[in-house]
Amino acid sequence: MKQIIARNFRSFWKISNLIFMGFGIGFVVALSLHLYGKDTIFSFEETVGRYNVDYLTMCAYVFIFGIANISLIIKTADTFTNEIKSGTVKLLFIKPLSRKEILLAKVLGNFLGSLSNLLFCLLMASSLYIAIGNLDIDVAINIYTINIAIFLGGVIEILTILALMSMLAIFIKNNVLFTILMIFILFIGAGVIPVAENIASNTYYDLHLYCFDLSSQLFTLIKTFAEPLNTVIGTYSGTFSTFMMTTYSLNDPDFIIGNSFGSAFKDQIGPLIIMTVYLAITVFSMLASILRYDNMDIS
Amino acid sequence: MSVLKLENVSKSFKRFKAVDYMSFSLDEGKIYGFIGPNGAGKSTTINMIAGLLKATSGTITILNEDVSNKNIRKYLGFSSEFPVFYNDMGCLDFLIYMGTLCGMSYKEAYKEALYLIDRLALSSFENKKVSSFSTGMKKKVGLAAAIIHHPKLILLDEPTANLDPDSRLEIIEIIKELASDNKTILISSHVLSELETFIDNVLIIQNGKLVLDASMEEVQRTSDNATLIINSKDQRLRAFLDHKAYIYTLNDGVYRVKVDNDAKSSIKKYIVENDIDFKELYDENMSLNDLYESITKGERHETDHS
Repeated sequence: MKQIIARNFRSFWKISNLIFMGFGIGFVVALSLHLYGKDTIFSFEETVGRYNVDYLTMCAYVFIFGIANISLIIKTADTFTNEIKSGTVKLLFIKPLSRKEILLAKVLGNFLGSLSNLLFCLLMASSLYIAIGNLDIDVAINIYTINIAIFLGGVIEILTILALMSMLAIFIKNNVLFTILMIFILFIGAGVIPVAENIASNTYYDLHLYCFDLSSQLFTLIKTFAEPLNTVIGTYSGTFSTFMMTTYSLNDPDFIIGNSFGSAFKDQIGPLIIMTVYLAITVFSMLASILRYDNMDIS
Repeated sequence: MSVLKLENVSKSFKRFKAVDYMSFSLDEGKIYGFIGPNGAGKSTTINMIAGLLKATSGTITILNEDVSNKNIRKYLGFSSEFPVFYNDMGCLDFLIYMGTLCGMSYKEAYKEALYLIDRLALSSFENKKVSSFSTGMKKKVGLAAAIIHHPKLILLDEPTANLDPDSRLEIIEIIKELASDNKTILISSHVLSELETFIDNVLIIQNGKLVLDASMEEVQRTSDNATLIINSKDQRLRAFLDHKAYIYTLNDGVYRVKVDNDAKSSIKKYIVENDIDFKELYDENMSLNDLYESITKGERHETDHS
């Protein structure tokens, strides 16, 4: 099983993927340099006040949405749809492994591979920010911790999307249709933008208060872990409503991002319910995948 | 000892019954030829044994364990008619990956992969992508992947198809070596003249049903359609054959008489009793092809009549 995990993990570090990430990083660097010197980009005091951290939003958009998710679509299609179509799945099905193990190994391999890509990209983003932006240690600590928050938010997001993707790939068995459908779903669920903004902004509030208090560093870390969960879940719940509201508020994007259903909902009992719903979607997707995979005839 | 046992195994695809209540068992250390016309159900049966298809009914056991038990698959090797490979893997890496998936350590798999690559004359291609190989080379790698983990039961679907004569002989040699090492091998092939030179038993399948399960010795012993070869210039023999209306061909004094066992005895008795002069008199064993044709055509005639 570990061989399958390792193989899938390694596929995220192939030259093709590194080039892909390179483009993402290059894009962020180019944009950072272009925006360098413009106060609203690198001044936290101003940007947080406006509930908008442009650089982080940009990084989150490029890395979470652009790289982690698109890589996942390609790799999931390769792992499931292509393997069934080309027949290479036979090579695994005749080995002393249950189909459940094979499926979980592939999902886990893809999950870890995607996370490693994401972590690498966010570390790059943080480093770029420090190199190009403000070298103040306060900001340096903040930016890394905020990116950890973005990373953890990405973990939840990747897990949910991966489970959904795996199920669709197994059921659809058609690469083109699968890719179109997944991109469509991702665009509808483009909550990654408000997700990233909310994670960055809300975490920053806490970090800002506790940054130089060593005793509160641990608390900050725990908060960093807890906050993205709430925020991601809250914003996910807001994704659909955001999408709906877009039709009514096209001229007021701040309203959509800043005052969406998710933003208000996350302080209430909503996150628990929504978390349960999203967990249920993930579990349902995985169970459906296992059932289908387990009963699949390959000839 | 029975390595593989199928009991009343059926497989239906919607309304089409591809395999119909098939039962047979394979003994240790023997090579079995699995033959039948296209669409008879050979590949379906092999795929069910390999665990790729699930039987609609019946049981398949390998070493007395149900084939659905994942652990039993470490004793199973399978090479399909058109082997498939990962496009991104070189030959050596692919074989190591296949070995480690079967529970071998990396070191063991590496050692065994190198041995097989050398044995199959692929050494100069060990780091090349398998996807760039010729069909014949792919067949060899497919066979190597099927046997790298030393399985007890090996399923080979058309192992020598599309291979050049040298490679065919090489593969047949390996198959024989495997059998001498107490492995059980089930080979599906259409090259019957080749198959009959090394198989111990034959299984013939027709319309999803097993129509013959016998050892090659048994087949030759019981076949009543063998050809009797007589080399004789004596005209009395020809008169006798014509009188009895036996079907024969005559070429330079050599009679090839196609008759059943009773007629054969009658001809031999006539030769002895009448002191017919002959240079040679022997039974030409029935070829696997003759047997196959007699069974499958017979079945077809029966089907036509019905």
